[in-house]
Amino acid sequence: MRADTPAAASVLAWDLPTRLAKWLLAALVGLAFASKYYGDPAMVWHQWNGLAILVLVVFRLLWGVVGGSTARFAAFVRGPSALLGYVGGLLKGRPAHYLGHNPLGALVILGLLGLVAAQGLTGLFTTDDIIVYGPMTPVASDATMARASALHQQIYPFLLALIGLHVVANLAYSLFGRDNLVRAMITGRKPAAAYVDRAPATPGSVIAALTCLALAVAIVFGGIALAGGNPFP
Amino acid sequence: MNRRLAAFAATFAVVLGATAVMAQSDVIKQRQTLLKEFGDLTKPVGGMLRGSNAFDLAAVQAALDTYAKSAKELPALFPAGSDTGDTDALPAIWQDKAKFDGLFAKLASDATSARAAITDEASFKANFPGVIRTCGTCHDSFRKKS
Ligand code: HEC
Ligand code: HEM
Repeated sequence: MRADTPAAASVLAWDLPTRLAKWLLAALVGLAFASKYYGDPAMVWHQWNGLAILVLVVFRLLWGVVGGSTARFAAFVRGPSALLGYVGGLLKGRPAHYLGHNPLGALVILGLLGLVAAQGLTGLFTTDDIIVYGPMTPVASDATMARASALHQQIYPFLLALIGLHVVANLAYSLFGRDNLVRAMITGRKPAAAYVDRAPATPGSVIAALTCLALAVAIVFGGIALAGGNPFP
Repeated sequence: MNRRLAAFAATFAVVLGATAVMAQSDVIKQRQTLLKEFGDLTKPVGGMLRGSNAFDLAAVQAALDTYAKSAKELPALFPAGSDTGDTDALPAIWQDKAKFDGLFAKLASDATSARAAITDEASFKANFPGVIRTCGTCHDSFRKKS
């Protein structure tokens, strides 16, 4: 690792599994749209892509419990008073300086994960009534499929809007704020400075990450199979 | 062929005559029954396209025959004003009924030519997707997302 070279003035903010999961998720969400509009007519690609997204979301939820310090929900999800304090500082143009997610960003992260999960879960039960039948449709009632198919079409505009907010906010912080959040999410490091939360971050272990990934695969594919669905589109 | 044509004409006449006297809700039910049949026949054929079901020429032909037949009956089952009640039909249908009917006509003629062109699995994979693309095209603009 490059812990000692130019890094003396920088500290770990995001461990590698957190960054990989984040950029993979972003890429897969982009591909989900691409595969909808440019994919095969039976949407086999879109369905595999959606299953991969669900695996990543489950991974991220597990990683939020046992992962690196800045990835843990218990560390970055803060109460209303911290949130109000942060917003107050932001409005005065002096936002408190966080190494991990700030209290407002944390809400966006939860929203993104929640909406991506909802989009993926409804997709399991979605059909176009023509030739696309999601993995759980063999055991779902017509009413469930109709409801899920409608939701799958109604949720994603909100997801797109929240992604838009997320990207604009991160670019704005990076351009006008104290540190470059986008670069930190790529390199994992931020300049050494006084942060409200504990710095440097403690990375999660590679073994834990691989275990979380294996568990996530088992939960998604095993869960669909146990529920009577067909996990292989 | 002649007998089929006669049978077809008879069905067509019966359906037309029947719709004229039927109440709105029955028209809605009737078209939904035909469209549900589209869905039920297309589902296994979709499995063949993906390779999860074995290719079955007879099932493909049955689906194509039903598209060709019902697509000619369906336009009459969407009379003006039948957008209320237990239906997913969008009012847009009656703002551009010509385009809507044209999509059913396209489905019927595509199904008829595919019926002649499809003789084996390769010609099936080449010709079938084009036929059912019209289903989605119509649903995108004329069917409510529930
Ligand atoms: C020209 C337009 C059009 C075309 C072409 C079309 N549909 Fe539809 N479809 C509709 C409309 C409108 C409804 C909603 C009808 C209602 O609820 O009254 C519908 C409803 C359905 C339903 C639900 C029926 C129910 O209520 O249970 C299925 C299944 C379906 N279509 C399958 C297909 C398939 C498969 C194809 C192609 C082979 C197809 N449709 C082609 C317009 C179309
Ligand atoms: C395409 C869909 C995208 C999705 C679904 C998405 C999702 C997420 C999620 C879930 C996180 C939380 C990461 C974690 O804590 O584990 C995150 C963080 C982050 N994302 Fe995205 N993202 C997307 C696109 C982008 C893009 C295009 C950018 C670049 C401009 C970006 C920049 C960031 C940054 C900088 C963070 C860290 C935020 C912080 O420091 O508080 N994201 N993203």
